[in-house]
Amino acid sequence: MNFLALQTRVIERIDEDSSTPVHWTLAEIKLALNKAQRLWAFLTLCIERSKTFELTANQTFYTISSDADFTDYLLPLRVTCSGLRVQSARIDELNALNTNWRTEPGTPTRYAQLGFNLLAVNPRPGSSGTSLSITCACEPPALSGDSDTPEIAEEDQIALPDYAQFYLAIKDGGLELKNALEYLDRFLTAAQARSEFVRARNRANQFDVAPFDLRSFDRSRMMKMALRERKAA
Amino acid sequence: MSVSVLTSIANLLPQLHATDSTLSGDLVWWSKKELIRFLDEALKSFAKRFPVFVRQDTSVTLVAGTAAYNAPSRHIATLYAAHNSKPLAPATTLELECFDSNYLTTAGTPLKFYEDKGGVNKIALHPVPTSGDIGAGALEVIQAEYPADVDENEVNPTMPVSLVIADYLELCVLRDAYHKESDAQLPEVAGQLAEVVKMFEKAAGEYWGTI
Repeated sequence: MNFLALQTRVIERIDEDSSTPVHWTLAEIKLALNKAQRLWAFLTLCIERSKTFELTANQTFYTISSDADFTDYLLPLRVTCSGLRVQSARIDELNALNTNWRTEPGTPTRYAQLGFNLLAVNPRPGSSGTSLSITCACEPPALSGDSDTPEIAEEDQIALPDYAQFYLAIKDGGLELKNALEYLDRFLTAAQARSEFVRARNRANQFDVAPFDLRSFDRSRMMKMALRERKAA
Repeated sequence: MSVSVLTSIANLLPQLHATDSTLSGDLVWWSKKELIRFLDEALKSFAKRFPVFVRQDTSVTLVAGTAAYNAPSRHIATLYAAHNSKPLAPATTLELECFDSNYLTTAGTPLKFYEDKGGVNKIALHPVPTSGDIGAGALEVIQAEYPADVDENEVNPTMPVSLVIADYLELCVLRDAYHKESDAQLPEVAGQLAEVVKMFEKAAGEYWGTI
C-alpha cells in the first residue's frame, strides 16, 4: 500500500473530507501514520539495515551518531569486523577479561553499546582503515509523497491506520477515544505477532538484541478507559 | 540523532486544538513555554529512569592528596570509572572501612571508587592519588546523564533522541497538558496516555536497561 492509500483508509474511517477537512487536516493524518510506522518499528525491530562504521586508530570509545549514516539507528543486532563476528559485551565483562582492554591494540573482537550512542570496541585498531559492519535495527524514513510505501512488511501495513485512528481520537477524548481503543488493541496484537516472528528470526541468526516482548506488558489497563462524570458548574 | 524541540511542540498543536504553527497564536489553555517545560520534564524523567544518555567524561582532573571530586556536569549515575586506562572497582564505604581503617587518607594509585556518604554527585577514590598519579591523566567517568536543558527560552533547540523517542516525549506532554487543572482538563485522556507511555517505557527498559 502506498501513502495515499493509507491516508484514504484513515480518512474513510474518521469520516473526514480530504479536500475540505473539517476536524482533522491531511497533515495530522500523515503525522499519525508516520508515528504508527515508527512505533511499529520500535516494538518489533523489523527494519534492519547493514551499515559501515569507520574506526579511528588508537580510539576505543565512539559516538555512533557522529556518523551521518546512523541518524536512523536504534539498536545493534550483529556486528562484524573483516568478516568475523564481534561479540556483544558489557564494560564490566571487558574489565574482568583484561584490565588493559582500553589500550589493547588489535582487530576488534568485542563491542559494548551503552545508551543510545556510546560504543566501545576491544581491541582497538592500531591503524586507520578498520571498520565495523553493523547490522542494526533502524527507524523507517518518514512517509511524505503519496507514492511512498512504508518500509514494514506489506501484510503489516494495514495495522498502521489502526494506530493512526487511535492517535487522531486523542483530541476528541471521551467516548470517541474510548471507541478508538479497539483499534489500538488491534495494532498492538498485530505488532505482537510480528515481534514474535522477528524474535524467532533474530534468535536463529544469533542477533544481539531481541524485540520487546509485548506479552510481558499488561494491556488490560490500557484498554480500560474510565469516563468520569463531570460535575455541573 | 536529534529532534527539533519546536517541531515536537508543533506536532502537538492539533491535539491541543491549536492550528498556528508559529506557536504564538491560538494555544488557549496552554502556553508554548508551558509545553516546552512539560517536554523538558519528560526528557529528564526519561533520562533518570533509563541509562540512555551515556557519556564518557574525562574532565575530572585529579589533585594529589584529594580523595573526593565533583562528578561531571549533568551526572545521574556513574556506570564505570577508570584512571590511567585501568578500571576502578566500585566500592562502598563499609567495604573500605573493613579493608582499611584509614581509607580516607591512605595514599597510593587509585584502585577503587566510592560515592556513598560523600554528598550528592561526589566521586571519591581509594587509595588517595599521589603526585605521581596525577600525571597519568584525568579520571575517566562513564556516566548516565541528563541531556542539556530543553529551556523555555529556546537556547537549546534540539533533543538528542531518535524520532520514536520524540513521539514518546510528545505523548508525555499531551498527558501532562490534559492532566493540568484547567477548563481543558481531560483526565480520562491523560490517564489513557499515561498507560500508552508506560508501554514505551517498558520497551525502553528492555532495550537499554534501567537505572
